[in-house]
Amino acid sequence: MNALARHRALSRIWSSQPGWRGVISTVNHSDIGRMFLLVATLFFLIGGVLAMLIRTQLATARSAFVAPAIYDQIFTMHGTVMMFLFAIPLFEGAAVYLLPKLLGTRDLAFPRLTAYGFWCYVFGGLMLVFALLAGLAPDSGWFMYPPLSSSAHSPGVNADFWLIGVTFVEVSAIAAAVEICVSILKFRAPGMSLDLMPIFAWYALVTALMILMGFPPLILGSILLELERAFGFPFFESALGGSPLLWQHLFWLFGHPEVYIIFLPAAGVISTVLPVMARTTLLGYRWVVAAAVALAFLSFGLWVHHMFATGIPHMGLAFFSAASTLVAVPTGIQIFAWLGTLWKGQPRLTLPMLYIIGFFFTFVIGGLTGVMVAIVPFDWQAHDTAFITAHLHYVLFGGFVFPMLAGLYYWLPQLTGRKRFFRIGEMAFWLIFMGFNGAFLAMHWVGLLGQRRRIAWYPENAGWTEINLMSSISAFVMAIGVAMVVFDIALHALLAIRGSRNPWGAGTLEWAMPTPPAAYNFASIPIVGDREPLARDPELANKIARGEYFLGAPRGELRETLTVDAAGGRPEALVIFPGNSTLPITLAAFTGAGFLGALIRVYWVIPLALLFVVGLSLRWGWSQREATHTGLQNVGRATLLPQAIETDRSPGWWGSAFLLGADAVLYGSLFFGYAFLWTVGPNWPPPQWLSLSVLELALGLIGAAVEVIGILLAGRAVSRSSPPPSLGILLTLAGAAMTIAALAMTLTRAGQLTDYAYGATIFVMIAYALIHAAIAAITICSLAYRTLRGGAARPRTSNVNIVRLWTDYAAFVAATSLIATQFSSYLR
Amino acid sequence: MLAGSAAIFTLVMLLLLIAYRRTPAPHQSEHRQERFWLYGLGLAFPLATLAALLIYGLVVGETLLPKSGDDVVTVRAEARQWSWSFGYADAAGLRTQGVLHIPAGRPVDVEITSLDVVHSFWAPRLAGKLDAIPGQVNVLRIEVAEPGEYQGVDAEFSGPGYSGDAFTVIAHDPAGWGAFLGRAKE
Amino acid sequence: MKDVVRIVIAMLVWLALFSALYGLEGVGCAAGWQHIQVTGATLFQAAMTLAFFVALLILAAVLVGLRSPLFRSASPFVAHISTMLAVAALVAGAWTLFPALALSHCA
Repeated sequence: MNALARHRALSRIWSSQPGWRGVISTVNHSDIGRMFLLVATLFFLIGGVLAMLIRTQLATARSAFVAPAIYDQIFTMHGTVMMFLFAIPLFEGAAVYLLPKLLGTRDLAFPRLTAYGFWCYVFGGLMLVFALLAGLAPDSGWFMYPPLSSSAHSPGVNADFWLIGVTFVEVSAIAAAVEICVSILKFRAPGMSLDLMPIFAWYALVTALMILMGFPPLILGSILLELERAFGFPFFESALGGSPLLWQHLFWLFGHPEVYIIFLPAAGVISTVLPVMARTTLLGYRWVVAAAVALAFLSFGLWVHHMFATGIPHMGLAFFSAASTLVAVPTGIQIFAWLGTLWKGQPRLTLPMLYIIGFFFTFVIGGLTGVMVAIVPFDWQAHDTAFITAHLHYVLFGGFVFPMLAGLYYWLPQLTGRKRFFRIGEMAFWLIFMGFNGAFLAMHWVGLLGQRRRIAWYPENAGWTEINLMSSISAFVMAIGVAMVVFDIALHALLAIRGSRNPWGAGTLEWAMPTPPAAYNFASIPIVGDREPLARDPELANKIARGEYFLGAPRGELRETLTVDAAGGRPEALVIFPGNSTLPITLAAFTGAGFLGALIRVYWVIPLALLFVVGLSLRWGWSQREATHTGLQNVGRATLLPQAIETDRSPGWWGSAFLLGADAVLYGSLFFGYAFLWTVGPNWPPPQWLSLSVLELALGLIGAAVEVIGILLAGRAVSRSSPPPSLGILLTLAGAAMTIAALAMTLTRAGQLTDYAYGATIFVMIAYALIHAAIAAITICSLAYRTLRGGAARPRTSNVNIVRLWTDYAAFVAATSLIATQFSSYLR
Repeated sequence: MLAGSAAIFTLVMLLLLIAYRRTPAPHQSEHRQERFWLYGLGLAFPLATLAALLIYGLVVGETLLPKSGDDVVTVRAEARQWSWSFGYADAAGLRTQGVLHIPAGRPVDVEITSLDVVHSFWAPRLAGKLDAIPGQVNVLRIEVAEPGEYQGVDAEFSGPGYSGDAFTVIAHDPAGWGAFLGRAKE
Repeated sequence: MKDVVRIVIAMLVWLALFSALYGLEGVGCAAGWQHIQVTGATLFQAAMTLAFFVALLILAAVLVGLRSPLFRSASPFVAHISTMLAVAALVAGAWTLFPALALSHCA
């Protein structure tokens, strides 16, 4: 088979369908990555228009441009759109598009999950856009502090749009994060051990892990606040044993890591682009990796620095003040590693490099003002003034938008196979750079003069008018710059000027393919022995196209790739991907219907939607392409590998493990809330406690134990292949049924206590356990069904291991939640 | 802090500029470069600066804490959408709307709370912010040397009336403070 | 997977200890430990000081553990990164938790 025939065969196998059917049924990471990037950019433009409205309002004293009620919606939506609908999805899009190409594989771990995440993002984003156009947008500020966002002070549907829309979008972030973790750890080119991974993959891995740890607290907070708004569960109502500060803790537990979730991918782009522009390699690869990991964890120890003015004791503040200064160290290490890289090589002044210089200029200022506000007494003055707004824009625009624009111009030739002709990008850079600094330097100044953030107007005699006018004019200059970038890209797309294949002389694998890339990425999966394989072997692209490496011979209609062992990069298994499917968009639509039901408070829609979601999920699991051949498979180069579903730990196991990790963080946050209200919440103890029921406790604990033992037995039976695992499955099912019964009884009793924060909290804990017990029961039923069908459908060890993760977790949650709630009356 | 920040910013920009201007030294070992850029500039330099800054900040923070004393005056600030109401420990029953009276030259503890949503008490020339949170009383220590009028605002977004939510602090000399309290007793 | 654990474990332990000390401070103040005297110090002081040293001990143990032949990674790269991060976690422990020794209580 020659290179062209191989290209045709692989293209037929991997392509999406033509036209609109392709858009809704594609599961290919290049397609979805491009769609993600496009939609995220649209939201950036929407957020930008909102920003211009804000600057119009503030350009003059006592402005009558819009009334405060509208203005509040505008700034709330500006923050919300930029954070949730632009920054995170843009990272997801970049990662989805780039990672398989950087890692030397053909697609991400779970192609249909990628599509599902994308459609959840689109539908959730549309909800918020609708709210904006209908004048029903959230208006309590993007961090939605209760009681301002509670039903007493925000009676309309506005706050519900935020809570439900943003949570829906976060489903997509969690899906993408699971996908990215598993893909980076398992789906790499053979030979690519952890130390040979492209640096961007490290950053993406760290970011994805942070999303899994950082988003669950906010998802929990949103659920609690929506429960308070819809059903009067008083989690944040101080008169009834709740605390408004609980929301602030949960929000910032997410909110601070969020800043680094946004910054780290951008740092990954710089670490990739800057060395190429300096014609050298990154200085201190190991340092940069360690710094990124350290930064990720330190950023979880900063959340209280958004709450310095809430009256927390000084020692508590001091911990967070110290951590907030320390976080500057790994940031500094990265900055100096990049500067050292420039000194090591011979830097060129290309367009991507211009944007990186813009990054250095703005981000260093943002970092320095960040250290200032980490100091408690300074923050007591600067907090909630325009100084903070300026600081955060220096960090986020400087630390995210500039590097992402650098990345855009760097990877544009890869994306399109074309080259730029006009020099609009350079002009746009100078407009954006000058406009940005003019707008936000001025805001530092006016903030120190006392201008608060989020004000709709200020008096003439405040002396801020000229500064604000200057800031507004600069902001419009910046907007013109952004519009020119959009124009530049549009021209680029319209004028087809073929570019060379690797215009920058980069060494990573995404340049070792024809551009624009084919749907299958690599005609054969290369063997990697270097951090920059293309720099070491300039012939690599041709060898890949000639099929000299793994999986160079397409078989039937199968979409095939390899997995490797996580650390060493030895080939481990053959993966067969599912093909194009409209299942993801359908599942996302039904998920959306459930969220919509909650939003418009038509609650009977929710169980109906849930029924469809469960049904479609089961179909999803079933339509996983079963192996037509069993046993070891020839993957080329005289290598025989098992299929991934016949190994003990399939990609599905890894995905479940990471998802449960995020789930456990949510459960942990719930425990934190319980302990927080107990120790700090005002108006505790509650008038009524949940009394101990020995029956419920014993039933639940024994059930959990039986569940754990049962699945253990089932696993043993399956690994010995005879007899069928019926006993184990029946035991597990019985255990699950017992925990469900025990939890349901406890829930009924807790349901009578929910007009107080204590009762509402234990109600949620038990309900959480009950939901997981039900999920566990469904997974066991699917295992039972496999056993009954037998033959090719019979359960394999990988199936049991996945089910076991869910049942063990459900057993753990049932036991701990029952213990924590049943004994509570003795702990008073 | 501003001068230090400006110096660090200038250093980074200079290093960036020089990278473009110099001819690279031939064959400097990667290890030596790591030592200079990462151990030196990346690690030692920020650790030393930040340690000094952090300790300074914490010491200042400690001195701003309310310490018990004999002549502390206690007042109460209650925030609501969108006005402030003040009460006085030395004059039970006395309430003032939108104007807080305090004595100059004596430490004053302001007990801050809210009747509805979260607000924040901020009189920029007197002290930093402290939030007014429903169900919770936060104590802010302020001390004014000179009698006079000082402006204060709500500094946590609290809804449509937030922009205009302001109050005044009037610091009295001892005679004026006595007269103010005396007026209450009449 | 074990190598990934080796890389993240030290900072994860730091985060857990950091949260634990912050929690202990909250619980101590809520329970009024600053008013209970035990041999020359308040119960609050004693608890925070003890917790500080236990935390550093645990972080030091993680460092020693990651360098010991028992848990050390076979990959020199992972071994190096995990050591760097264990040192970072120890420094972060001392840096972020020292207020437990020095600052005033519950004010």
